[in-house]
Amino acid sequence: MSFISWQFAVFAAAVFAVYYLPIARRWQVHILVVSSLVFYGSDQLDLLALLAVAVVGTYAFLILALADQRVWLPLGIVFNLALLAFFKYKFLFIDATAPTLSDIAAIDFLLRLPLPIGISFFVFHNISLLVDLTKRGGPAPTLREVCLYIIFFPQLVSGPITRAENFIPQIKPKFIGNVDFIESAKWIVSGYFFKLFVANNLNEITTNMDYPLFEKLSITNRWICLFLYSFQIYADFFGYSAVAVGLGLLFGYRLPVNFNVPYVASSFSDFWTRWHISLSTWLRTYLYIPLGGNRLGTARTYVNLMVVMGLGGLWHGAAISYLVWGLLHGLFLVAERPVLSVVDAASKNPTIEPLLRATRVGVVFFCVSMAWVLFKLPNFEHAVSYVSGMFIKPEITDPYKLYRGLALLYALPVIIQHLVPPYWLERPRTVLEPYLYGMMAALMLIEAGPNTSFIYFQF
Amino acid sequence: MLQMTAEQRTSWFVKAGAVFVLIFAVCWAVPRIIDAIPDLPPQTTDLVQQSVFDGYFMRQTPAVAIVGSSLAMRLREEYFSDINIENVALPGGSPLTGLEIIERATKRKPRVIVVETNILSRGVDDALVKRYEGAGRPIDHLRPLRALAAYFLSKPLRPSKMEESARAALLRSKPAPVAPALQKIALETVPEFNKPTYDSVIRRDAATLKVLVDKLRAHGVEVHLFEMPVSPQHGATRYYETMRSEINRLFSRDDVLRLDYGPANLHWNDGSHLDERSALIVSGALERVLTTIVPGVTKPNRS
Repeated sequence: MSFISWQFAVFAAAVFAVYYLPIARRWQVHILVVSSLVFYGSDQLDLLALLAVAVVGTYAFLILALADQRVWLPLGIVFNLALLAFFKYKFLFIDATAPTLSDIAAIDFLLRLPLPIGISFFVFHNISLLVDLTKRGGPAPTLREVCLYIIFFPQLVSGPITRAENFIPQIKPKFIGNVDFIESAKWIVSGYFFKLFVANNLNEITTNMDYPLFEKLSITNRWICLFLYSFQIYADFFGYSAVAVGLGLLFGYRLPVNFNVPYVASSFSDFWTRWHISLSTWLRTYLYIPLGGNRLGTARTYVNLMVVMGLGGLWHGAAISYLVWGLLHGLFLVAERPVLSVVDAASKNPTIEPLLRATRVGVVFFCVSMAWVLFKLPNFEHAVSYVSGMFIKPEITDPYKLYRGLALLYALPVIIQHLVPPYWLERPRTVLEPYLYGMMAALMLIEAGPNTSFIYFQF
Repeated sequence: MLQMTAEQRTSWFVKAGAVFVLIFAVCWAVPRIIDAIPDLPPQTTDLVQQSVFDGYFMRQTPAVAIVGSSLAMRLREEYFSDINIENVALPGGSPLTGLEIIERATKRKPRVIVVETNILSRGVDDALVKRYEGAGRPIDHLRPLRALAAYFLSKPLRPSKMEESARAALLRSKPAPVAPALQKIALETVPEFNKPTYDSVIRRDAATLKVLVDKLRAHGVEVHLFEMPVSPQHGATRYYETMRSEINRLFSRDDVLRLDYGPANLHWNDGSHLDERSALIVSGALERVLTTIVPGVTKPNRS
């Protein structure tokens, strides 16, 4: 069930209506768990069993780890990573179209199962649960609380990745009088607006980056499409995350914000505190710091950065391009580290600060955008061909015409969101705010681009 | 979290809702008041298909309509000098879809339909046909930004006739080199088109074509078939042989237009799709045949 389908709107409204009925108050957690199972099962009914195995299995490991974490915590983590590795990467080694994959029917069945939606996200939730609660100690939460934490439908398929220590304390009776409908509406409208109006319309244009369509793009249009794709992937993912946050608020749960205008980052480390914040936080907390972080010397810090970013890339998909994307970002982080303190010091000079900051932001945005080619074109050969065509004039007959004015109009919300400071024109904005959101709500329906699924659903 | 009274919260939603309803109402009403709202060409195949027939139902019904696939789409209206013609060939689509849409429309049937028969394996796109059932005005609402962009780009709603000088220059032009990727596609298509897997599908589509042609003729529409020229390698494939065999079996010789391009040296971008110069030549051949067999199909003056 996609967030952008009418079926989901009906589903969410029905769950909301039942959830706040006074007689349902003591069953609120159950209602959310059951509806989350319905939500997941609507797309992949045959994989509900896997979800149950992941959740119940993790809960079992949690109980055992609370008694003896030295043995059971690593096993619980391995259990989850094994699930992720098996389902995400098995197709690298087997051909699913072959008539038989194994002589044993059960294994053959398992090998043919499709990639479970959201597995990258709920496995990370499971690991967070195991580590956070084992470290905290104390009594274990109930199975239904753990179920809710892992499969809460606003965040189930594409995050944000919520830490157990932040989510589980929020599990308590909820009252409709405490719902901030305006904040929730703002998040939901913003999310759908960025997805339907910005991302889907930009997708119409960036479709021409696909192979072999990009063969008809001129050099200039390849560059324009590259930056449009940067805006598109941001709008798509921010849109999803914003809808998730808004939905969470409707049910009384505050999910973490996942983006903080990432394209104005002045360094790569700054970028990763602004882009997919929940993932970078998870990687830092559960991978980078346990590996030693920056506490074991310069060389080891660089290795840790490359390992963490490489694995972060692989998390996105079972393809060399995602690994390379992650390693590229690792390289960016490693390369800037020796000079960051010098550049930061220079930035304190008020004379050159604006120009220096603009340059830094431009460099980071440029490098990040170039790296996105690997997301758009996971086939390495195609990615190389696209990039080479950005520098060497390709021979084209009947080149594709890009409506740049329209592209700019569709990209404008991303640009405004990034460049306009939050405190600018605060008073007029407060007055105009409801009209602005009404306009966004109308535009996202009237001027919606052709329907495409959320980019991060594939992960 | 906002610290608002209940009245302020209600006021917020009322204001937002009012703007939402107002914009919706305006965008709903405008296409019903203003004719021929400017629009941009779309960027993806599916939207191109919708745009083709959106435009067809928005404009005056032509005397002649061309239905087909992306091959026939190359025969642009501006290539035809004197004939009142509209090209509703569907890129990535099938001539059967175009025929079905016109057949089911309650109005706006042209006098003559010419059907490209090259691609007879895609069946009918039922979703697209459904969109135009009982077609009157298919534009349900204004898309303000697209309309604004189109207005400022001043794209004409219907292309004007090609100037003689431009026509002569295009006929004199040398063919552009074919991009390696397109050469690769051309080579890959030939073995694909030699597979026997298409035989049954072509027979099925040819039978559907016969049914649709008979229905349109029952409505008083004159229907003729023609084959777009393709490269000799493509034309010699099993796909094309099967298609021609079925057309010969189901239709009479008089149903099929024989286009005479003269000694023209035709070129294709990928073995199937004509380049601009060649499309101009074939358009001229089609126009000569049509003006011979269908009197009174010349264009009105364009405003």
